[in-house]
Amino acid sequence: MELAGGISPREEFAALVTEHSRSMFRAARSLLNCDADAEDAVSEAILRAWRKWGQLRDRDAARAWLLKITVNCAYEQRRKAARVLYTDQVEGVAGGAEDQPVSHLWEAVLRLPDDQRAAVTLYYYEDLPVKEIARILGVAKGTVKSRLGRARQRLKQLLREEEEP
Amino acid sequence: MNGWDEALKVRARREDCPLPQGFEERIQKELDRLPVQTRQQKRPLGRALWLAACLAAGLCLTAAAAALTARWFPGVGAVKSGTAVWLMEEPVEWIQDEWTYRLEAERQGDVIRVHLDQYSTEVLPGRDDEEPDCGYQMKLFAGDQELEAGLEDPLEGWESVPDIGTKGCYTSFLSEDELEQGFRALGSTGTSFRAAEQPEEGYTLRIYTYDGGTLLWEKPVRLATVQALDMTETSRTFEEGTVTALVSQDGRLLDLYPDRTVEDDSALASVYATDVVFIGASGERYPAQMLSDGTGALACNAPQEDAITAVEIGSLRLTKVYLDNGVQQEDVPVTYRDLNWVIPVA
Repeated sequence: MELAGGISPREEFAALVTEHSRSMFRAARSLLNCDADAEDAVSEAILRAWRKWGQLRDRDAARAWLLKITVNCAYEQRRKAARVLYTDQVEGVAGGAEDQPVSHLWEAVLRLPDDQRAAVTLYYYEDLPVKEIARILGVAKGTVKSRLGRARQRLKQLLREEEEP
Repeated sequence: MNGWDEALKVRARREDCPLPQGFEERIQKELDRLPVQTRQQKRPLGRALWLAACLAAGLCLTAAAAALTARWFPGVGAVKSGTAVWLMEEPVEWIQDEWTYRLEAERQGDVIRVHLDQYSTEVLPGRDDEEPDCGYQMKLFAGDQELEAGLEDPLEGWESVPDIGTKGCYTSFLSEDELEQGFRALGSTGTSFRAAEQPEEGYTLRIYTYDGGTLLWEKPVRLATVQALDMTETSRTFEEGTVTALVSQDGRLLDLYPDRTVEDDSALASVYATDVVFIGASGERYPAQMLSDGTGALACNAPQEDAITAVEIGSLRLTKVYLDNGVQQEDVPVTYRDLNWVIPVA
């Protein structure tokens, strides 16, 4: 089936995923501790999104829709990976390196507690409003706000920035 | 938003998350492997029963009807393999406050799945933005007997993952039909129960608030049996377990299901096929069209004059579940590519 513009649903879907694949990976990576797991979550999200593609008619909501599916897949991936202890996690605990200042924002984000990373990623990197973030993460708006508040303090420490006047 | 937030957003555009090497190429390959998709009509419960009866009587499927029947192809396949399948003849619908509710149920073997959708023409009416999205707690009764709830997969003796099947979610992502009807919000909740014999008057479903504290509705759930399609059945065994492929007599429908036998506290839970083609007598290869209702059943839209002679499955993704401290968990999927699994049509 082709749309009026000559673009098939498959092409439209592929274009959308291609456009937002970095956002999908970023969201997954914010919830998972390694690139490989995040990429697996993105792959699974693509399959699920394709299965439900016919149900999405508000294309303006497509990015948030893809991100919500990706976040759900990442949550599942995290549950699966929970029984595996990565050696870099052990080093992180033992060395206390997470308190050292960093110069790159993404490095600082990865040093945030798990529950804050996704909120920060969706807010600062995706520029989504708090209400949309709450819907994507499946938590209350107030929870997103408090996570962002705590994350701001931590980021200021990690980036060695002064408090706002 | 304060200045610090604005500055950080600008900085985020410069100091981004690095992508793994080859990520974009691998995503492109994933996209290339996606099966062709077709649109599916709303769950046609009454019509599905009618169609199954027509098929049993030897009537032909029209192209439009093929998609409808395929919605229940997996269930009908279960009938073929000896599992009883029951469906509600008509969904139960009601309206309360700003919401329209639609209740459906099906039974395969000894598991009954109950599904409640709720729609509204407003965006989440009556919802407090500060509250997390929640669903309902459901209890199903056969007479006075309360049925065991919370089953996700019919794995004998296994416990389910906490919260599965009891928590609903709300979303503004609606189908075209739903949007055309003016709906702007959709909530979905489902629960599975271990079946007991259906009383003459049917089962009774009680729907409570999420915490179970308040009974909201009591609804009848009456299930009727369905009949089987004629089909060929072929199995293939992998390290993760055995997969059975069902192909309709005309070769235009394919569904796959896993053997869920539990061994060493694990079982094959789901199977998903890609790179599937239907091969016509002309030699033409027709890509499979996945039905968009989430069942994973595959259909073919080859012209009627080109009889299908075989179905070829290129790749399969298998997912196992395992028992972890008494709780069922899902394992990382395993994908088999370049399978070349050709199923001749009888």
